[in-house]
Amino acid sequence: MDQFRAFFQLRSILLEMEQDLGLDKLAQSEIDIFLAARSLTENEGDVVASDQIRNHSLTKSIAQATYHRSLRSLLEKGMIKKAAGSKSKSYVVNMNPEIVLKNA
Amino acid sequence: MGDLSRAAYKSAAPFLLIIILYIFAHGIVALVIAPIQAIYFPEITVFACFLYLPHGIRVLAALFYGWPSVIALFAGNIIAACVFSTDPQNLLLDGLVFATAFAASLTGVLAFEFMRLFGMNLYAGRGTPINWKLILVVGAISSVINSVFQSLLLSGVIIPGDGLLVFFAVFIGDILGVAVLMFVLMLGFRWYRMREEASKLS
Repeated sequence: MDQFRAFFQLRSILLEMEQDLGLDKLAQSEIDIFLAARSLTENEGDVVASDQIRNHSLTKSIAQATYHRSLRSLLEKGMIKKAAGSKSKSYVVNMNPEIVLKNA
Repeated sequence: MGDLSRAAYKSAAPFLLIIILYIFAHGIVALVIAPIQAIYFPEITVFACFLYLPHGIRVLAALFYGWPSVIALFAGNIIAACVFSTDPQNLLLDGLVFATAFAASLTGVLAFEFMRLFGMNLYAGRGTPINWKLILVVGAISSVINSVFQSLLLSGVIIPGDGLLVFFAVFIGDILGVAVLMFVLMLGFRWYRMREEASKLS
């Protein structure tokens, strides 16, 4: 198989993976916020401050109202959770892929 | 470019790509993942890594190129071992390095052959629809094969009592290596697609 066919087949497999994981069904702003929060999480259960997510390169350009609406939507979908015992606005990313599937 | 050189390029390009990607994945393991793991599990880090991205390259290379991928993977493994070793000259005198590299290079293809025994020819381009879940299954089978190979080959040098730990470290590292590599590639393709779509809109 030449590399171009391999490349396109791999792309097709990964596009299906993306659809199965439900990433394509979220709004773009939700995806960007989720990915920003995920990239700031090194270990499962790590707390990420709202400011950290807001200042991430993926989310900087999102309008304030859209940002808060998307954040609330991700909370409702269970993809992120409010961090327990934290005074400032902080979140924990849900690493369980079933949650992503469930909300697809 | 003449017909001969074009044909040579066409057959050599996938091999060079596999070698480069394999060395790159080894680099991430050697320079980023292994040093972090060594803080917590120093005694097994020399034998196995809990997140082993090169295994993902093995499985994908076997998926697209089958048996010939073993040669590229073996070459990539030896080059990576030399590049990231502190003592490459002595490393090349160690037969165990060649044995473990060859065994590891075989594991992806052996897993696809195992699936073929059950009537599922999952090599790309053979007509069977392939999805990412099946690739993860093949990745898991090849992880088991690799764990057995590495445990047997390294049994003489592993500290007694650490054998089972090394077996599971190889197994978990390989499975996670396939899953994480595919997830990263998925995000990479996604990012590229989004960028393309955004540039069309602007």
